[in-house]
Amino acid sequence: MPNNRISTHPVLKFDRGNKVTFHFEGRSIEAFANETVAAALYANGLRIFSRSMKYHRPRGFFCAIGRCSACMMTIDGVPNVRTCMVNVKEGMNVSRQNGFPNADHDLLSFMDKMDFYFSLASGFYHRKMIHPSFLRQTYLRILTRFVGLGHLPPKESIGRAEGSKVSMEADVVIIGGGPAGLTATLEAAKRCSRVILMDDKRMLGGQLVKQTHRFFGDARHYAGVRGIRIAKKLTEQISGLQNVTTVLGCDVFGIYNGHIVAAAQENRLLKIHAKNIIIATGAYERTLVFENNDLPGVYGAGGVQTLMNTYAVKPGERALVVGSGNVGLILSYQLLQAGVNVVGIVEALPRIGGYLVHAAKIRRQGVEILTSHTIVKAIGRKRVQGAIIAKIDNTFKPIPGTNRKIDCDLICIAVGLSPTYELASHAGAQLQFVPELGGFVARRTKYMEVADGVYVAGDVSGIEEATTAMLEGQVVGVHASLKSGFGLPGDEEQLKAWIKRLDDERSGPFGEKIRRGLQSIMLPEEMKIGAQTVS
Amino acid sequence: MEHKQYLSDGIIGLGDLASFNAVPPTERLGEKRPVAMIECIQEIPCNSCVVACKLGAIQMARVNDLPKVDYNKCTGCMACAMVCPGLAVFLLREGDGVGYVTLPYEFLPVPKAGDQVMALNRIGTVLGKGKVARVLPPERNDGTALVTIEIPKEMLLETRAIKLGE
Repeated sequence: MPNNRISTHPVLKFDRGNKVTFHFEGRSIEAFANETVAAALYANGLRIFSRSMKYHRPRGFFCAIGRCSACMMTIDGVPNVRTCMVNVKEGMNVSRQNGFPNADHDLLSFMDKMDFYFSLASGFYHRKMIHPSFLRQTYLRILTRFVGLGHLPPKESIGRAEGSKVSMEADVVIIGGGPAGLTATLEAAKRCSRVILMDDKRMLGGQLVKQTHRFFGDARHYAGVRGIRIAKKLTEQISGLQNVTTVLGCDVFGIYNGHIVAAAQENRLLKIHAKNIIIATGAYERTLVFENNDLPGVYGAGGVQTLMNTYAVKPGERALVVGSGNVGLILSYQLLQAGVNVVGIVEALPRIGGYLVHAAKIRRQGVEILTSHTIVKAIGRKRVQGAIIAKIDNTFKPIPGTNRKIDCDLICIAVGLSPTYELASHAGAQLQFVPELGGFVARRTKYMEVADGVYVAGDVSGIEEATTAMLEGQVVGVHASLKSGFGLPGDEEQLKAWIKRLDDERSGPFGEKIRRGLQSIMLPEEMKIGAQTVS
Repeated sequence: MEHKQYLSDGIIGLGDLASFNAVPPTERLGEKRPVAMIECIQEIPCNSCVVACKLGAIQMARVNDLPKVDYNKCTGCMACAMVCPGLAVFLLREGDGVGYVTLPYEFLPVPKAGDQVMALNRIGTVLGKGKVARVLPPERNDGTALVTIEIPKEMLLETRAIKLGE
């Protein structure tokens, strides 16, 4: 099998951990302890991770952060495990779960040719295959098999784990260990006696852990320092704190009564009574509509960054990047650093979305940026073998005759992010759709409070840069502490100073959109902190 | 916002830089100490160069403003080039018919002093040959090497990248 691991990198030093062997559909796979199952399989050349439920189209690695579900497999008998979230273990048994006889050669992919029948209307199953009624249960069984979301292990083998319910209490609970969550934790820990930081990954740092570039921003706030170093610094500071409990690898699935955080961690159920909750869940990647956009080889920019910068796996040989925002531009540069040839960047708008200096950096390496262009189609049957791009007019429609074939095996989608707003909504925040901030965001006060005792910080409150996320984290960390009854002298001045810094950061032309977006979601009155009010 | 060509293609031309007064004067290029040329003509929230400069040669009133270099104060010490996240700082010097440009380099392999390299312009086209004069190794600057190459004087304001090999 091929080995797509990156051996040397100009910026990163990789710690893969010990050699591990696991089983994948009858084959032995060589991997390293610090790799996720998905990364190890990708490094060994696997491209089809699953089949889609209805049409059995091949699906590949897409997001790498547990959001897209394209990489779900059966691991040691447990179906629907997101393989991008689980590290490999010696002797582990992994298999893909849908596809007959297997996901590589799926006979059920004939379904893809049946769309004339099934796509008559969405929800076809309410109208078709329901007559005669005595056969409905049989139809249902067959359909369930076709969908193929694995098989549950037999009832007897599912035991009840000891200590499966855990109850905890905290002054401040922070959900999400990215830049905002980390700084919020540090500020809360300086003031409160019990702080809990939770994340669904196995490591802290959020998306910082794959940002190899030096950050822009205020030099007092890590400008000129690489994202990966910031992640390390903040994580180290937190690990030394006695009053912070870090809970990793747990999925927070709800916030009840405005102050109870409920989470699942392996086979444990965590119930945390929190005086105040900070939601710093970040964002997820958007995708783009074009023909074959689900083909293995079409991946989210963040997923590609995770592969090459966290797991040192080369995502492909020739990449086309879609989107010229900062993420697209930075990704292109990182691809070059990982030894991937970047064949071009397409951008639908007539101008480059990200910083000009980032654009200039990749232009100097000979990479072309095609503004007013879009991707029309991905070519290939089981994996990307090329792409068709076209010039578009000012109504964003492709101009006939401008189609061009691009030779590539990787298409990276960097068309923006949307806030992961669900928990805020569950906690009682009012949501509003604000295009300038990337999608649905919670209405909030100046100090980022969205409901009584519930805060947001970072990308979940509107898509911005890590610099502003870290500042927001500090603001909510202090405000939530004050509200929990803990504080330090000078906190009010400190809060004002940070708010001013945030305003400064957003004062330039790139902050214009953010300023406009924020105006529309500001809650007018300040929420009360205990007895006193900060205004 | 007024639409400029560089916003469409990402190429910051010498003309664009001149219109922002970002090109050091010719007399200064001929001095013995190198001078920083900062190719940063878009207002973005960043002031890392200003804080890095211990001589106060880079001025910026607010974090979103453009850096303004005082070419007389600048000694070409490279402090700003070492931290610039946009890799937009170049150090220039000319003398005896040759030019020296110091540029950030974050790829592998890292060239050594004496190596022949290809000098590339702002769109990655080969302009000609260059010889590596000095290298600040990447391990001394968290992965960003600063490579000084010797090139013909005429290429000084155009050479902005290198490619290894002859």
